[in-house]
Amino acid sequence: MNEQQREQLSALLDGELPQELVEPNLRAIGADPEMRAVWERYHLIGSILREEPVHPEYRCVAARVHAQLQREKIAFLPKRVGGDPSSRWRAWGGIGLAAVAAFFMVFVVPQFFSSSPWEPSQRAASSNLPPARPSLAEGYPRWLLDQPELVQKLDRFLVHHQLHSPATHLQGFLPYATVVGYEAGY
Amino acid sequence: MKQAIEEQLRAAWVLLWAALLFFSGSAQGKENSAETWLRRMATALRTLDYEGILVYAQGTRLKTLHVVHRLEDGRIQERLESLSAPARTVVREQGRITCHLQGDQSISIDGRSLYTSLFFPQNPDLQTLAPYYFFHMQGQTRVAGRLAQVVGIIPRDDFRYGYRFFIDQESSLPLKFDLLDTQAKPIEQMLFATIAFKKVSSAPPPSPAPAPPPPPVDPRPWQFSKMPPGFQLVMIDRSSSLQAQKLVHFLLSDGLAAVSVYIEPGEEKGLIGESRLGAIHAAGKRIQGHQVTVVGEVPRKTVRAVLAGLIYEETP
Repeated sequence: MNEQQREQLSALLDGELPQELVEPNLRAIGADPEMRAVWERYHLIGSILREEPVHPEYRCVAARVHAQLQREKIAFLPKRVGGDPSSRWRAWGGIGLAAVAAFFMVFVVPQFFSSSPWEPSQRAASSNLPPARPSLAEGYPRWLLDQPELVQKLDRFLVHHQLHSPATHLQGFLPYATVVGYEAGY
Repeated sequence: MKQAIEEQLRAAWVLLWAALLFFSGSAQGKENSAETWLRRMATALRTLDYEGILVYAQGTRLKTLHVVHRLEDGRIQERLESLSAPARTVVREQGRITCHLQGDQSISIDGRSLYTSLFFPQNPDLQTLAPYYFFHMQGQTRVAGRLAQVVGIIPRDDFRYGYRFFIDQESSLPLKFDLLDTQAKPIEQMLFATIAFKKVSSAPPPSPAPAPPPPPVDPRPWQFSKMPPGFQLVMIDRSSSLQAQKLVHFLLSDGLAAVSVYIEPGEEKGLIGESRLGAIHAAGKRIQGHQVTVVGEVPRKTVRAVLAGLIYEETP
């Protein structure tokens, strides 16, 4: 993703993107996971700047919109065929986009929030990790490894690393709570 | 003439009041800035006596920990103990850290010789962190019945985590702490259920003695070809206090988040692939007869990138 795309996303978020670039950008967000991630982050930063509460449900809306786009046939207005854009076409374009947005807000977005809990980022774990979520009592071994020597070595590295980390310098003793308090599992 | 003088006097008064308002507003703004609160928090964590019950939440798991921080005659003593099974403790005294983990496993590391405080003083420099983090005052709330100021550190990309501190208005201790993923969702949370603190009568611990300038950072024969954005090599320790055998430790950091790279020569058994402990990720592989392990409280993507960019290049 290049700087121009980032700028266009930012402009889209601010409602300042030229009309003719709106549709290609929306399609690109639907197709490109990286753009979707940036789009979500921009929304998040915007919410924080406006001091709005940030709910977990707001996450990955773009991913879900993308999934919905795959299922639904969203008919954007046909592209112009030559000539300068007239104000009438612009107006129809705006109405069309507003209709699409309204469709999503009324029919699509509520489905996301009422569906079962989703944690795609957690599911996208390494192939080394156990695939299914275990019960609370079951758990996983520390570091998700069954080799005590290796676990001990990683613990030693971690404690040594925490001693050096600037985050530890900022937070005092708190980062060691992970070393002491962490229980394997999700 | 008299009228002109009166007008000039009036204008001077207006300017004087405007200047006073501007400077008082500016001072107040600085007083309540994220940087000021983070500085206060770092100082309070170091210089106050406090003891309390800390609730640690990770995923669906909850743990209660007993925290003690004492300052006696300029000596800091800290103890963190798990109150529920399995019993684990971490004790830090005079720079030496000792961990009692599972079974009879014990780790003891002397951190007194570390010179990382030279690179990372307790007071964060937000200007240098600004390209990678967004600092934000998020208002006030109540935690453990006390008024807290909320300070957010939001990452600008997905190579580092964010932080949210709920800092006690009175003592400046963090009453609650959230480690946030790249979408500001809490991964780990810590909350003081109870806390008692007192100001210490003795002087705060002296600042670390001025260390000599760090040696030039020359990682050869190792090279970091592609670092995650903002990360740079800040320390090399070729005589690590970690274990008797020869081990090289590289520290990469963006000024807040950090990644350690441990390189062991020979056939030392180590991590091949990836693993994690909560929000901490690790990755390892063998490179040119060395076991390489990357560890850090950073997203998986970051340890992966560091490991993938590490090259062994022997110069003639």
